[in-house]
Amino acid sequence: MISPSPTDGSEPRPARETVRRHLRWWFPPLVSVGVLGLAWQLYALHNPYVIPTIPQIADQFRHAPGLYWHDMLVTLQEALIGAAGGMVLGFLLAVTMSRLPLVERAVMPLAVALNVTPVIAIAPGLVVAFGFGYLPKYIIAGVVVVFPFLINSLVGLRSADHGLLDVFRTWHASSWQVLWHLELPSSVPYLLAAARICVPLSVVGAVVGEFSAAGQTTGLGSLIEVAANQADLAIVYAAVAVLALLGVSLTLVVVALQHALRNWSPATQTRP
Amino acid sequence: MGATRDNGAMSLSSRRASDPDATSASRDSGALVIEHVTKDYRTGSRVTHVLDDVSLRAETGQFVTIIGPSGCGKSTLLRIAAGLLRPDRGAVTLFGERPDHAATAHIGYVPQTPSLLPWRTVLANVELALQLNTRAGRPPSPDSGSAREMLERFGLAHVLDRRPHELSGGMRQRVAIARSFIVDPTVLLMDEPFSSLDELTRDAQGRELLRLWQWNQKTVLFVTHSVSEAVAFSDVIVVMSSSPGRIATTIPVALERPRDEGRERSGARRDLEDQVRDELRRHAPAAQ
Repeated sequence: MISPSPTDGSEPRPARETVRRHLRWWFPPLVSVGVLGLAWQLYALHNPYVIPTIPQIADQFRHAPGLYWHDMLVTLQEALIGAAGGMVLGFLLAVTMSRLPLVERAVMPLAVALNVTPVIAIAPGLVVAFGFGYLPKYIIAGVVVVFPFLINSLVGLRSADHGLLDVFRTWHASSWQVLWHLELPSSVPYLLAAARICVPLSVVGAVVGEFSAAGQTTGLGSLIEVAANQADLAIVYAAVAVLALLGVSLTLVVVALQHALRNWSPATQTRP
Repeated sequence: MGATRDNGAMSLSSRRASDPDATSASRDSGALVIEHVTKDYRTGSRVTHVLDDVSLRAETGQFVTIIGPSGCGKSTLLRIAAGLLRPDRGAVTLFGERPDHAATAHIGYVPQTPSLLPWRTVLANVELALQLNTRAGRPPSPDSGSAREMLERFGLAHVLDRRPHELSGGMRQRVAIARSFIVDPTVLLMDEPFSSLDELTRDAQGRELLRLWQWNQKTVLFVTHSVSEAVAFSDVIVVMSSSPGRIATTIPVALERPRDEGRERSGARRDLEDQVRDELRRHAPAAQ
């Protein structure tokens, strides 16, 4: 249905089309990754004390896959719990602000101040206050997502169609009915766009939390910290590679969700 | 100093409070009565006079059309009639009640864009009107029937389970009108509902609206900038002039119903259209 190519042609033509389309899609990223890998490898061979070679990194996964898997799960858990908490808090704040302008004026400056303060500066204080357990990591991963989610939620709640708001008012719908039946569903695309930013961002928060809690031994951030102190570059870069993969995977999950809900509110209001 | 200011505030608020009562006492049974409505918009220090002392009335079952140039305040007037905006001065009553009174006013409001909920099916969109209205303390009226029946009456039986983005613009607007009929309104308020449609669709939609209006004679206040629409639909045409919005003239339409379409247009109808056009031209802003 989506593909515009005509189906009246002979059999091999669509197949060749598909191959060509895949090539056009995959070729540029494969080339850029290949060039970067080659440059990395050449540089690492001549400067063994600056970066590890690619086979050295690969060896890490071959020798101790369980180590990286376990640390990845710890970091993932910190990031997801933090992101969930931060997004729920940001959303509830947005709902309150959209109902009560007074709350928006009171809380928004605080939220902005929290947002512009580097999270890495707050992290040590939080570790002191909440100990070396998981709690400060959840909080830090949550703090970094509250503001972007709050702003997007607010824009989303306010994106409700004005004609519909008028219609709801002539029905004398209550404020909660307007929220539940109109503003909340209207904000869904905005919430997903915010999640696409916030979920990978919470991984950053979790790693910052792990960096700040010296002495703690689990999580990819702790692994990097300890390995860097021992100048074990292969471990450092292996953990970095896992973090990159983690971020990409989480982004893809949100993108898949966006794709699944792409027909949630297609633009019908503006065009006739 | 403080005392005089208090007095001023008192007299102002008491006048505002007594205004609707004073007007309702002098009222007979007009379905929709707009009396001396004045509205200004303020942006910073600039004040725009949108409506200046506008009065009009629609009797029960009448189709009244407001026509005027863009920016003459006709949409503002409609939103005031719906209770969505408060007039600075003057009053609006529906059968003697204020339009923003939850218990009494039954308003069917059709905004300019179809304004359907995109995540709900056609049927669910219309059912929501019943659901929310019932919760506001109004029993569903026996006249309105089920949402399914209403949509069948509007010729939409085959798209009940479709979502709005799968429909044409004309169909979407028809769903919006069905949604306004389902609450069994005493007054239908329509803000250029066909303005975004192409001419053929617009004609078909107009004929459809007239058929349904004749089926259950609602009182209608219909805003448009199309002369032929106004003459085809109305019992009364109200011509407005702009800046500030005033009623230029009121033209009763005595043409027989049903009024024929297109080629078979009678001479009387053409004369009336010319008359409306002349009035519009006469009251148009000098710049145009």
